[in-house]
Amino acid sequence: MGCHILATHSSFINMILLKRKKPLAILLFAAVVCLYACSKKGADPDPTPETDAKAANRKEMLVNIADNIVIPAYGKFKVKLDAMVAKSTAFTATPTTATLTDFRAAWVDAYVEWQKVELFDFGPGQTEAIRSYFNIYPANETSIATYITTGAAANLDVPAAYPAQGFPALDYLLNGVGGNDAAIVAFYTTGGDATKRIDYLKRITQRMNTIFTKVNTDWSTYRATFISKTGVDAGSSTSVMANSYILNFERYIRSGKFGIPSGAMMNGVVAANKVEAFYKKDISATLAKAATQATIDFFNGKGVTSGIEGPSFKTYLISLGNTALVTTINNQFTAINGKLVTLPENLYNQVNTNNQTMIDTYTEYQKAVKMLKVDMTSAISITISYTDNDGD
Amino acid sequence: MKYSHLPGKLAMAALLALSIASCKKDKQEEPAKPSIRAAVDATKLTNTTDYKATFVVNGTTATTVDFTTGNQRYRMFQAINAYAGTATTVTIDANVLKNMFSNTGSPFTGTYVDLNTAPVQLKSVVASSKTAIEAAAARTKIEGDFTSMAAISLANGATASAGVAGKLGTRLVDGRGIEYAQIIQKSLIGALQIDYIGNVLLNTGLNADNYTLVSGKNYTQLEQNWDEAYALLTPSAIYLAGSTDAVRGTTEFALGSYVWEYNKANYANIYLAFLKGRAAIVNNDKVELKKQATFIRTQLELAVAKAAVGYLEKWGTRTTDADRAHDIGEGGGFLYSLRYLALLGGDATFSDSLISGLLTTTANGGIWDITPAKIATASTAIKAKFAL
Repeated sequence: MGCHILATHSSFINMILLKRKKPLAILLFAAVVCLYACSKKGADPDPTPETDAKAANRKEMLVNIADNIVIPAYGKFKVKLDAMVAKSTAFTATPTTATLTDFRAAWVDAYVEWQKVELFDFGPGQTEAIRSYFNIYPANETSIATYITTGAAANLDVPAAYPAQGFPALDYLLNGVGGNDAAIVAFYTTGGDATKRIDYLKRITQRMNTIFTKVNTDWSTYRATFISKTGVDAGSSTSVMANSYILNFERYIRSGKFGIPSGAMMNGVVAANKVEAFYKKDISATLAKAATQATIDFFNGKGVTSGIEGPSFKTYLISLGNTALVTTINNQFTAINGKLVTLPENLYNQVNTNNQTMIDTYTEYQKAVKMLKVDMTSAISITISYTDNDGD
Repeated sequence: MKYSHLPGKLAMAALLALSIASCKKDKQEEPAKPSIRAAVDATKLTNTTDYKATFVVNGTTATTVDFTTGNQRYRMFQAINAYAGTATTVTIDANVLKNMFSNTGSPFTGTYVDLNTAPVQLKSVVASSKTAIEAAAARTKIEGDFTSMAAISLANGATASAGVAGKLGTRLVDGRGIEYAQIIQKSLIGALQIDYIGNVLLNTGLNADNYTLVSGKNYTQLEQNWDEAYALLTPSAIYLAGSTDAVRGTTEFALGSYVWEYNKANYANIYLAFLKGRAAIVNNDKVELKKQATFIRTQLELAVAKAAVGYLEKWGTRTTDADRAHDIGEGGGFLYSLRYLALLGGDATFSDSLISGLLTTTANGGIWDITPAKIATASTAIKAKFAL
């Protein structure tokens, strides 16, 4: 510490040496400076000096993630969401089995594309709570019925309304309100509440459009903030992004798609009806695969348009000397994909007929969670902030 | 001392005048009297230096450090917290909580029974840096929380929902979803710990006498004020010894725990700051003393501000009403405590506006009306106010 301080102040001392010829005074002054610096050191130390190279590497990572992943991925999602909104408009204007089929197909496309952006729960996505409004499942049929009856007065902003809107509510409303397409169309064309049902469908679709548009638009201004916060403190982009990335992987992929329906988690009970896309059923595995691949590509910095890998968690870890960890994580991702390809589309059936394969898949995810949540965060010196540490 | 002739007196006066003049010139605050302690070399203090053994009566190993009253108040806070916590399974009595608060009527039992005879209480020091009106309001608010806590304990067999008190998972809440056990603890972190440690003991408390011993004690009042501040923060011999960012190394409660959790940048520097400040007291170095006090106060306050934001942001990551209610219980108490962040510029107006913006007051409102937008508004306001 002493040498460091002397070195820090040496140029200043040299400057004095040139002007004065009083060795004792100089020594005393140097000692005072040194003592002051020493005493200051303990209580409010300078931040650990970090090479500019590390911050520069993080900045490159943030720029690549913003420009080649988040912004273009939102752009791709916008195309699919716009198409879904258009098909919703067509269906609600003229509910027929044909317009229903179109709407449903557009909903599937948008839902798959959504899996590739759900992980961006930082910046505008977090502020607008887009995941909470887009993909909390299972849908709550009772709430949906109540909100349909209540109409425009129903407050869809509160957590109680999360499972009554977004893709899961559309899953129910497009696939679950009748035994076949004719019955589903009849839900919107006959009976006293038909108009209210149409109105609710319009409302939740428009609402998705409004929320997403805000997130997408805000990224154009948030980008500058995002790439400027190059530290590793709790408010830095690297920390916020890594926290939300790992939380998404842990809670919304591992637990949401596999752990909860299979009952694999601690004190878990098997709950096949909690799979994603419970009413459509035959797209559950596709959704899980899309979300998982997006997670893997994000880790490796793969541009969503170019398909080319750029600065990322992977390159940043390697720059810090963690090549082996990168290999371990990517191997684990491969192991997860190895499980996913063996699963049929209908995960509801899979839970009921061969749940062990669901539990085995969960187990592979869990191994990756540990690598990301413990090993990666430790290697890049960020703290997980989304858990309770105080235990009360 | 007796001066026998005039030239001597004149010489002394001249020396004194010269000394004062040079003080002014150098902008140093030299003690008017010599220290009663042998100097402590602050540069030799480290994160592992023993607090009590370092500060001793001259020429002996008898410590001048006494953590008794600080630890007593700390344990009274723990006792209130523990008793309130039993409300999830048993009916509790608000008067017991109030008596613990004012240390009247021998309310303490079990491991806390010794506190019944302690010469201190919490109520009189809560919010004591504030105006009499504001201090009274704070004490009334805390006692009101005790009443609410006892009232919801009657509903610990019910399941809570909007407008209905009871349990959400393991959390006991009122009809507005307010988890009073958390509100009480987090409000006292501000009203008791931040206010009494930071705004009193390490602030106005630094003006206390440092040249005479308190009757029957080994310490001066200034020394005791500093040590009491430490002992109201932590019962640990070395605060957060052996802690890493991932694992806390000592058993801490309330503020002491949250400093570790929410001030990762500086939790490891607080113990040394206490030692350096204590050495500055021994050395009568007011400048250094103020510097260390300011450092400690700032870091404690930052932890509270960051905890408020932290719980609001956790709310957005939750998947159950029980977890969301818990975050608002913790966060709501921290929002209240923001008013005690005197150095960072917190005040009651700001604190109250955040709470009223977040929590509606209707019987079935409260947490049930919270939206992500309201959370974002509060969180953004706190970050801006305290430059987080």
